[in-house]
Amino acid sequence: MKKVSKIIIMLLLAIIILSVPHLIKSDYTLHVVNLAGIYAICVMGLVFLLGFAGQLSLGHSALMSIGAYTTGLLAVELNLPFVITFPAAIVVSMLFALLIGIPTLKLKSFYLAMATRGLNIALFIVLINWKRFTHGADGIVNIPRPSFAGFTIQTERAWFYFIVAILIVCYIASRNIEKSRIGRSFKAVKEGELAAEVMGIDVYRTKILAFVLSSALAGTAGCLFAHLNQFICPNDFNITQSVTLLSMSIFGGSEYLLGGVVGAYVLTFLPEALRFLQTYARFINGILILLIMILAPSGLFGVVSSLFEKLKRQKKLDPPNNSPNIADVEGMEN
Amino acid sequence: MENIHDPILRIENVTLAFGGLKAVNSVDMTLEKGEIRGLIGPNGSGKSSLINLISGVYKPTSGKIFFRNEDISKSPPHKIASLGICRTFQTIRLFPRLSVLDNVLAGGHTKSSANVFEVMFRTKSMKSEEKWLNNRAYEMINLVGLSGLEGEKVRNLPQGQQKLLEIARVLMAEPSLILLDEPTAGLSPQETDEVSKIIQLLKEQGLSVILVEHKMKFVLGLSDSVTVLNTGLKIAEGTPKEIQEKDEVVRAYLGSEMTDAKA
Amino acid sequence: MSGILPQLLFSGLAIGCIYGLVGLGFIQVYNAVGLTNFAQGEFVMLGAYLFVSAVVIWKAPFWVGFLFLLVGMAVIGFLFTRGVYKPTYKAGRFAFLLASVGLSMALQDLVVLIWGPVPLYMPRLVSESSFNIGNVFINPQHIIIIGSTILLLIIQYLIFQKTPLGKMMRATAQDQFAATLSGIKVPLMIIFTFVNSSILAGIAGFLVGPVFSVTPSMGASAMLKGFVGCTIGGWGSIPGAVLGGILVGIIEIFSSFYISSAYKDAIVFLVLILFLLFKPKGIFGETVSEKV
Repeated sequence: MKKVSKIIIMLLLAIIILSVPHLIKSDYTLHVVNLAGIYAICVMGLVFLLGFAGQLSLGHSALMSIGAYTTGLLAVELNLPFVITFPAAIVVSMLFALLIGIPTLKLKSFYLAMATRGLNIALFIVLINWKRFTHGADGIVNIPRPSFAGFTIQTERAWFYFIVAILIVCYIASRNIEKSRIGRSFKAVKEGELAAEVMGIDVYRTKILAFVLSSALAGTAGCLFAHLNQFICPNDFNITQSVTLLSMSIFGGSEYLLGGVVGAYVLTFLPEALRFLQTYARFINGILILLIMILAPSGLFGVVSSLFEKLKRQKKLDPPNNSPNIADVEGMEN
Repeated sequence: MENIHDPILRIENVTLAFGGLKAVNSVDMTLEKGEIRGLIGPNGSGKSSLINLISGVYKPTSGKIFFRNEDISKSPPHKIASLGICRTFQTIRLFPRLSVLDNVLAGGHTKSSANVFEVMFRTKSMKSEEKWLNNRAYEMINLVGLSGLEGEKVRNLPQGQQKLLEIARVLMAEPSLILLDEPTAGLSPQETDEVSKIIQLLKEQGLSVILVEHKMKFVLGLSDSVTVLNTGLKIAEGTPKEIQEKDEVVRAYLGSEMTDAKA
Repeated sequence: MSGILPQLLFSGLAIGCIYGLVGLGFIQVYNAVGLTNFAQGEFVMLGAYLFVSAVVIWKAPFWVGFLFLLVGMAVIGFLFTRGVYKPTYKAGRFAFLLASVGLSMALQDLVVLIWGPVPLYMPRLVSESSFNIGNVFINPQHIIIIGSTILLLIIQYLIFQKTPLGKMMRATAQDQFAATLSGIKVPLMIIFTFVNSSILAGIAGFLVGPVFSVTPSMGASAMLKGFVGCTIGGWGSIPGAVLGGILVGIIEIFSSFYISSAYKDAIVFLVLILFLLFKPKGIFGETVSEKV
């Protein structure tokens, strides 16, 4: 029964995803959908870091910029193909995460927050001023579209499928990590470092792993961003952008991968829908974070899931005998 | 090299000082394989400090600790845990927002080895490892009598069940030495019996246990031998019977507690 | 050439005093509630804007403008405690931190909405033209900054060491539970701590306004440097925060002269990373690893 309904849901989802680019007629709107997909990949990385491992990065757009500039420079200056620049972008962003993570993750958690913000500021300065290498504020232009075996991902529609495919792959990989010993070690570290440590979890290395994986997703997103827009400049990756990414993750619920994805789509489209408020975008974003933290720090998915939990508990309390449901136990073992 | 007859744990002249205060003062202690050792003493006598030293949470100011002839006095706690020493805490330290099952599964961290790539692609070996972990977790939950609560969030459990769950989490790691820091504090008599049965079971399986407790009847009934600490010093050691007969022990500690326990 | 070294040192000292004041505000809040306020830099900026609006826009006399700044910052500190600290400090480890990040972003935009994006000119107490002692050129505002910082530090010392209020605030910072037991109204002391630290930030803005221009983003970099100063000095140490801030100022001025002024903020960041790598406890070290 459960399997059948699962397949039906999957089919429905596939149909919806496949039909989206046909329902959206305007290329611009589709471009925004594509951008949201890219942000969703990066936000999943934040969920890894903040929601699972309990570490805060205020500079994730800096890590995105590493991915974007790596692929951009390799593709434009050295004419390397996407199949090489894409993994290179991911690896270089992971290296930067190591560089920041190693000195900070042994210390109290606010050090990573401040160091990532510092990285964001410092990297921005370097990107602007190191003109010979990064082309300064002019950015990198004419970044080629990725092509595989003669097929180039050119149209927004093609990009839609490309990005959704990568998003799904990233989601499944992330989900697999979450539901494994590694995901559990992340959550254990967040819930109680000492308890995690005496159970044999190397807390320091676990935090570094979470940050590096998170950065890999940010690098992936940055690389896609560069090839989709074909143009990148330092201002695409400023502090405001980092905070926007954060608000996407906490809006959806920073402990839920899907919450991050939903947050990315909603918060990419919200400003588009509220065009007339464009000048207040940062103000609204800031207030949004403030309000979420005050009213519902667990975000959309957190609120929904705690409602479910309450309902379940009430149901359980109704019948007096609290015997275990064998079917449930078996289902969980799979 | 390790010999079958070597003691499992050897504490040699260990001192732990905080500033001028010596929480543990030149303590020697040897634990044989399969032994249950009671660790008793008044509040502030250094019992919990000793547990913290063995599990690596504190590092000794001087002296050495050997586990199966390996010097662990400078090892970090996670390393010590992976060698096979696991512990519970006096105040419960579970992962409150995770489920009962996930708490116990997390205890099996050292019993699994899948790396990032293996879990990302869910390789065959990773899947069979997870299956093994899951089966063992259900077994351990069953052992402490919490079957049926696997999906429950830990923060929703009463304190007694949380204490039992902490034991299940420790057992998940298949340790060879278990440090229990007041496992029955705040438990009802029935739950205390439950814990006592579990410890007996562990002994039958050949595990070594260090048991810090205040409930005298409980600790003297279970232990093969007892070490008594007072103000950081070891003041006595012997079988439960010998300990109850020693004057200085009774004077320092047992007397009042024994009457308390009887009351 | 011989005059350049003392001159750099002097201006570094002056700029460093600003970072020291920001760091001082950081540390006071950190010691009291164990949290870092990411809106501290925006409080610096608000101080400058409050003063400019009083003196330039409403043409108030200088001292009225300063009084307006003090009262305004006190109100902001109070509102911040009630509106941001109180509802978030229990809601998970990053709730307050993220809320203050959100607030800092909102404040930067709010300032643009009210005062516009154009940098404002801050009137000075003293003449703009530098004078020289020997062959060292001195910016008079730098003297004002250093003098005021010394004065402020003395006032802070007197408040915290000599007044009953200050003693209660220190007791709160040391051990909230014990403070409660001895009858101290801890929530009130926390409000006072936030108010005090936001006033410090506001005065820093007033002092630095004539050196940098008054812009919405003027606080962001001051905050990062205040933080670096705290790290160099050692978190938890009050003299460490001030001295660390001064050191950051000197590093900044020297690196912009000898290396590149464009990269000065990046160099400060590099210093932070180096310190975290090699001396994470800072000069006046305290334990900084996550509490177990």
